[in-house]
Amino acid sequence: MIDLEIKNIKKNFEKTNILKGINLEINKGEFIVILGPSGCGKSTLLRIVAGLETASSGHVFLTGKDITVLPARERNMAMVFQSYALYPHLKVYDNFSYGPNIRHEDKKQTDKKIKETAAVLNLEDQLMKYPKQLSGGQRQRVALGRAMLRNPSCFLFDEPLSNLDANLRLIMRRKIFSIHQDLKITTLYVTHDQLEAMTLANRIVLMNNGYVEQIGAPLDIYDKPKNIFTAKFLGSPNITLLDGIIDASGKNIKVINSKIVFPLSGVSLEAGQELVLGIRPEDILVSNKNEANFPAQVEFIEATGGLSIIYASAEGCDIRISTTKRISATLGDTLYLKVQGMHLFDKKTSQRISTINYQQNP
Amino acid sequence: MASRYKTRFNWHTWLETLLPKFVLLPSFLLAIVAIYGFISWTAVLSFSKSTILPNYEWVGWHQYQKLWANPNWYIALKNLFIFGSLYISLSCAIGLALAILIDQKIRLEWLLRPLMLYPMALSFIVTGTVWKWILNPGFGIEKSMHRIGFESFTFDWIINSDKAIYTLVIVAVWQTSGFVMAMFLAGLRGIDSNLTKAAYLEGANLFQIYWKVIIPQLRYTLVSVVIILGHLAIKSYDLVIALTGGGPGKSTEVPGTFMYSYTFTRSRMAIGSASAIIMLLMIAAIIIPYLYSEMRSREE
Ligand SMILES: Nc1ncnc2c1ncn2[C@@H]1O[C@H](COP(=O)(O)OP(=O)(O)O)[C@@H](O)[C@H]1O
Ligand SMILES: [Mg+2]
Repeated sequence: MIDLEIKNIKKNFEKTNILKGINLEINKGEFIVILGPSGCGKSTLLRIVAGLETASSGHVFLTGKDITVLPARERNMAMVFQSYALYPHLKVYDNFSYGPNIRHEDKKQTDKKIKETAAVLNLEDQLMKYPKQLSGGQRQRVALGRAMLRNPSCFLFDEPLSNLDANLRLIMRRKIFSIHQDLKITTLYVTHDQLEAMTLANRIVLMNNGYVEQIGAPLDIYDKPKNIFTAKFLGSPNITLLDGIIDASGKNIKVINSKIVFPLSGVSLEAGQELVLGIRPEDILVSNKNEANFPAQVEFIEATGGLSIIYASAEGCDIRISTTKRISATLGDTLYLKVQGMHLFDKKTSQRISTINYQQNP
Repeated sequence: MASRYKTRFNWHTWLETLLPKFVLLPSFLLAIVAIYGFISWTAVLSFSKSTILPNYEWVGWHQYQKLWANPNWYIALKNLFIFGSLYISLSCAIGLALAILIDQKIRLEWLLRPLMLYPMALSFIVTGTVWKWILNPGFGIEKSMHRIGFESFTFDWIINSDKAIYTLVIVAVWQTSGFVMAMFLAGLRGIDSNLTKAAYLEGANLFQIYWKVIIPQLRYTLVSVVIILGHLAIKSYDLVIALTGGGPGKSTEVPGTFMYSYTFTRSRMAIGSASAIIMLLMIAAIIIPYLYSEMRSREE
């Protein structure tokens, strides 16, 4: 059942096109993460859904009703801002009760709900404090609680965790996830952080430069990136991209300006077709001289204990490898690398043509 | 070894640190003499027997007792109270209203802002003189209304001893509400615009947003405004002299005019000095707690 529908939304500021026709259908209870580099128009889209900004053209529907021109205060949406937007002159309790009082909700009921929400968010002891007396994480929870109290038609988050340190971010991410599990309220969550997107979303909407590049479940996008941008944006460390070309025989992919060659499999492509090869860091194995596709020189190793990330160079190409094995190599050492799979993108259109998996078809 | 680390006398740094001090010294000394010197002199005079000229015979609190027994002093204080409270509250109300209108992005901001700030650039003497003409029944508003046909229109507050004090309020408010507006506007601009959005999304209307979210956050600005206007009210003198001269009768006498007339025209210099010291104390009573709290909040 479609809860929220965004239909061909466009937005211009002065003469610049910020949103260039966004279409999105969101099911009831779904957790949608809008992901994209900063400045691509994510917040603008969210504000249009909230009613804080008017679209230049297009429509927004909520449970089938056209709400494009409905004032924000009548949309019953709850929004959490990056800056938290807590009322600084009010205590936490009054920050919570401000909205219900404005809406003339029953005082006793509100009090009960506030206490329940505070308990869920471990804020019982903070109710009589002012926002400035709280830590960043507590403020963030107050903002979250204020949104929850509303029993809203949908939750809107605009980079809610960006002001927190790494540890708190992880904790709050889990909190938001479990709250969504409990309440099952349709959620639109804006972030530029791919890790948040991967871990929270039912579906990711990947935006770039005012367009939607791809919509899909996190792992689907990761496994089947529609184009080079999508492949580059998801995954850490970044996917390795190499320019390639199909050789005269039509059976091999040759990496341009190098002697590296991979067998083409699964698809048949014309000789001379220009490609971009995308190889995920976990698809490159450190192997031995006989099995390897090519040798590479180590430039830098980030060993984080569980995972090692190796930055290497092969005939001028930058290669990124991640492995759970501990590699005892130092700068300049030669590693023999074996590629287990790769995405093939059309060099001209940037679109993905095919994905090769060498494990299944050796 | 040790001598290598001994700092050599360095002309450059010496000049750099001391030159500004030398340059500032004359004006600093002048300020000491002209401000604190004369304050001390006034304080000494208020404990003396001075009449038309200074006379340093010590009489203790005598002049203060005489001041507080003087009915004219009470008239001046009462007028100050009426003038001050109306002046401050009206300036704040009008200034805040204007600031909110402008903050609501009225497209005339570019026009309104300088228009409202110009009065503050005028001296009270100029304002007072201009408004004296405007309010003069003989050729100001009243005359103009008569000329365009409203024969029965009267606006003679300036020569009416019950109403003259309100003309002071009108003119002083006219002069400072632009400044108050600028203060409030700066305060409004400092408020996170997401707060308004958050409140709006929660279902608040514009009035509720201003009343419950925005205005409460202007309280520190309000304190600053009240203190600035308060001390302007207490030391008001030039406007009164230019507009009404303290009259009709004593109806617009304020501590400032009281002090001047007792010191320089009525030959009661010691009482005049005592009233000046009382005014100083009133201003101190407003400003010192303010500075103290400012400093404390700065430390936090
Ligand atoms: N009120 C506005 N006026 C003009 N340009 C704006 C306004 N709001 C946003 N923009 C521009 O629109 C673009 C997208 O902004 P935004 O939606 O905030 O991006 P994101 O949230 O993805 O970082 C940015 O280039 C920004 O400068
Ligand atoms: Mg943003």
